[in-house]
Amino acid sequence: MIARCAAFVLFVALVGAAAPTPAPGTAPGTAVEPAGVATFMPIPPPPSIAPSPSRPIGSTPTPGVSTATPQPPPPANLVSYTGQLLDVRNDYVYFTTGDAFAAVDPLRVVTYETGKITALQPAAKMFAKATFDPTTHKIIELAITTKRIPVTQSTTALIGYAIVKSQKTAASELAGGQAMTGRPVAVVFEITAPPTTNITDTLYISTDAGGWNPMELKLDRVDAYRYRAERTYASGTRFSYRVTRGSWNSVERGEDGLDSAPHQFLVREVDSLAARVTVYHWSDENPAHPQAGPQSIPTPFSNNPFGGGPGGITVPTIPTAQPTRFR
Amino acid sequence: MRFFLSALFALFIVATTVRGAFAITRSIVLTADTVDYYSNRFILTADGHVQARLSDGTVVSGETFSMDLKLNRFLIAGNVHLDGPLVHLAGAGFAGYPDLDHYYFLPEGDEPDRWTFFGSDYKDVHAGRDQPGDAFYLPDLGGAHPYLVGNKVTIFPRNNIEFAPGSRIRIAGVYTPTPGWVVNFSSNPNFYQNGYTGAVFDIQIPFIGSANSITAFDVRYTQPQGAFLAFEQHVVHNADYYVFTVNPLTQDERQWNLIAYKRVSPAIETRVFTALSTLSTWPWKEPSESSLYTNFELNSRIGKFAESLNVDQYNNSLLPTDNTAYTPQGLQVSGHPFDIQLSLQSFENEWRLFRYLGVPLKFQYRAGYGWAYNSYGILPVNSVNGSTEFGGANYPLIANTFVGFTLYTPSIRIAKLTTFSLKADKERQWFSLPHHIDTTNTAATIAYTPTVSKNPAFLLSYNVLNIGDYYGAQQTYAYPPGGIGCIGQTTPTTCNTVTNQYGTYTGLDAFRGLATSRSLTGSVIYTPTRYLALNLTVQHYDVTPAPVPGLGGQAPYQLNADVRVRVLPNLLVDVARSYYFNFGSQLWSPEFTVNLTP
Repeated sequence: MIARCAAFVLFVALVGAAAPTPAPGTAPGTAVEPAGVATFMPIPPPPSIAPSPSRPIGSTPTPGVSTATPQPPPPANLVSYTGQLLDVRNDYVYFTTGDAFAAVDPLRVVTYETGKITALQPAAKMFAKATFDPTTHKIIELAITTKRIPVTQSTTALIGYAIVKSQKTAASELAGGQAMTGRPVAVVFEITAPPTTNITDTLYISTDAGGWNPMELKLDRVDAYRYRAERTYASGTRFSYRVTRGSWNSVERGEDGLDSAPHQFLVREVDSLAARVTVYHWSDENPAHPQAGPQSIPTPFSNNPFGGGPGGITVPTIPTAQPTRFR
Repeated sequence: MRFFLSALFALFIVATTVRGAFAITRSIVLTADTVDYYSNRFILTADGHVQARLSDGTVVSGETFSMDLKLNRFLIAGNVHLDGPLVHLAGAGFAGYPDLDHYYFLPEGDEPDRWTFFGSDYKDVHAGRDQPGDAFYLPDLGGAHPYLVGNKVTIFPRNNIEFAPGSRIRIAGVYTPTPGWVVNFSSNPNFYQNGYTGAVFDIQIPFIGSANSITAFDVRYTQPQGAFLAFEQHVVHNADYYVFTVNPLTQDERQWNLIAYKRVSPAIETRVFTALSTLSTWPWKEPSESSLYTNFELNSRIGKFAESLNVDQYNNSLLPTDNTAYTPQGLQVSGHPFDIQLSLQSFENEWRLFRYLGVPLKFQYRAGYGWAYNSYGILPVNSVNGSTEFGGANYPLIANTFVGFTLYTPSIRIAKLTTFSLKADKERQWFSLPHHIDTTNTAATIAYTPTVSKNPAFLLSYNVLNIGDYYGAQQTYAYPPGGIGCIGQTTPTTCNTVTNQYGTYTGLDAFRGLATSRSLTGSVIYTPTRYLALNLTVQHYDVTPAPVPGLGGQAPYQLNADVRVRVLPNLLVDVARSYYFNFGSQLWSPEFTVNLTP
């Protein structure tokens, strides 16, 4: 007897859950009519939106299979928000802003392009236009698409719509941060070379963004010691760089002659920036002892300034340092 | 006792578990239906049955994954499940910021919430705490084609990603299977230290990687050797690095190189470079020839001085031999030259008095001592097959001492946008073989540098370099007439004149070990837009002894042109070439230099 009662209660509960949820303050079955809207078409029951197992992202969406007569979209003065979906679960729609909005149950899901009901299930990565009931602050329709569409920039009309259970508290590590838009910012590299640098030497900037290519960005000599080059980066870019003379066997060193750590640079949200560095030494600046490496195994020591090696003077020339190309 | 041991064991288990749970994410093993890597953005994405196993054992699953490898942050979204030794949660999104050591979670429940975890301590929930505004943003890749495609990848944050064998790489629009592929994006440049000699082209196949290492084969091509396979192993740990290469791997003549760098302390570093050359029949027979070169460097900071100890050891043959003959390169087969040099270089100093006078004057000085054994410390012209005899005495070992001084001004403004600078450097080096070398280098530079790079900048520099090798009374013995011209001559009595493919040149008897180079260099740099840069450099050299094409010396007149055009937002074409004004019948430099860079 108890089991039958429980089954009946469960049946009633399920039937009740399947029926449209009335707005607060309205009798069951009464249509919600927003202010200023002359007519209102009841929203037909949409296909259920089970939050879990979903199709692979990016697969071709299947056309809507609902046999219901296409319904016109809700009135235009309803509050709407367009964004990219993160998830839909437990009657809440999550967007990539991290905001979660309550949705009516069942939720009307339509194709964004046609406005027709679709069997396609909302999932992460999709874009969606959510239409809210301004009274209940719940989403009454979700128009989804796999294509990228313009998202709503201002959410002032949605203040109070997003639901967060816990009280908001500040995070100290996020305070004072500046929003980065990724806009192009001109970065001028100004390098001061050591006095040992030959007048014809070519200097380069090598960055981690360029895979540490030792000849990534060529600099122009603009006076006796200074070299300059300009490059555009997106704001928010953070990169490391070093100054070379064209190879890793000829790279900048610190004033103490030791290998120096790469310089760090953050492209801030401004019109232009300067990256200024003073190079004190080169790893191969001593002609008697160039940095030994696969490209430059020095000949054995010679006390002859005009060329080493047995057999005599080989090159009666004044040596001019040239950067060695790697690979 | 048993209880005590059990308690101790339990304590150990708890301690290690807790320690593991709080560990920083060192790696992420990612599996999915599809894993894509976009090389131009350093972005990794995954879709369909995504499962990410963090290094602390936590498994995060979901529908989609994205990671910005440069910013070192990742996101798993859609039906997210977080399962670990101490946690089982479900939610809409999980964002990881390993650098902040924070993880952000959108849990499911009766109401949505925002949780923050400090580290991977998932039991300590900070609900409602502010989260980064873009923590759950998915990247817009704009229909770009992935560079690599696979279904399993191991991520070593801040260093590299390793695609599993069978992953495919996009080459010329076609996805080609690989034996595995490692993409390095580390900000540590030491992963890029190179142990190879040059090649015309080099295609690297990095197939094994970890947070500290990369193993790769290289398909290389050089003019004399043709195409071959080479091997390289990189190991990097903080500032230290080790590079081992075998090049070529698939030919008889192999060079085995090792570069080992160790930062002993903030003020001391050591570096070893070893090159072992072998000749052995492919694949791995006993070598019939073998030689070795090793260099050791120890650099340190001592007060306001940079100290450097440099040691070279050459073993012309490692095989047992009594062959005292000479190779065509002039190396004694059984020779093993050795040299060592200790030098000190001062930091930059300044005479402040001159700054107050408006002419800042800076200086540096240096000194060193070293010696060389069984080396080329013999007199070139009078030496026969490396004889160490000079003036009746034998010098198998030559010691040397040097001192040097550099005096220079920074760029001094003499007019609006116009600067002037002077530089002078003098070094003297004494040898136990009785002679000394003086090197003097002076330069004066005037530059016009607009503050806006769109306007052309001009530079004019005059440079004088003197090198003198002084033997006193034995000067003509050391540098006899014909010293230069006799090189390669079969009849060394007529060395005053040299005839080669470039022409006939005479007057070479005059060289007495003294050389002077005067050069005037002018350049203009014009960058009208950020897409175009032009650099023209003209040089005139007046060198004594006169340059001889094919033998040595600078061309008297040289013009270097360099044009850089940015043809695409991520492609810069740099074309350079030199003109020699008919020096030795040479007009243009043999080849263009073309560089394509991002």
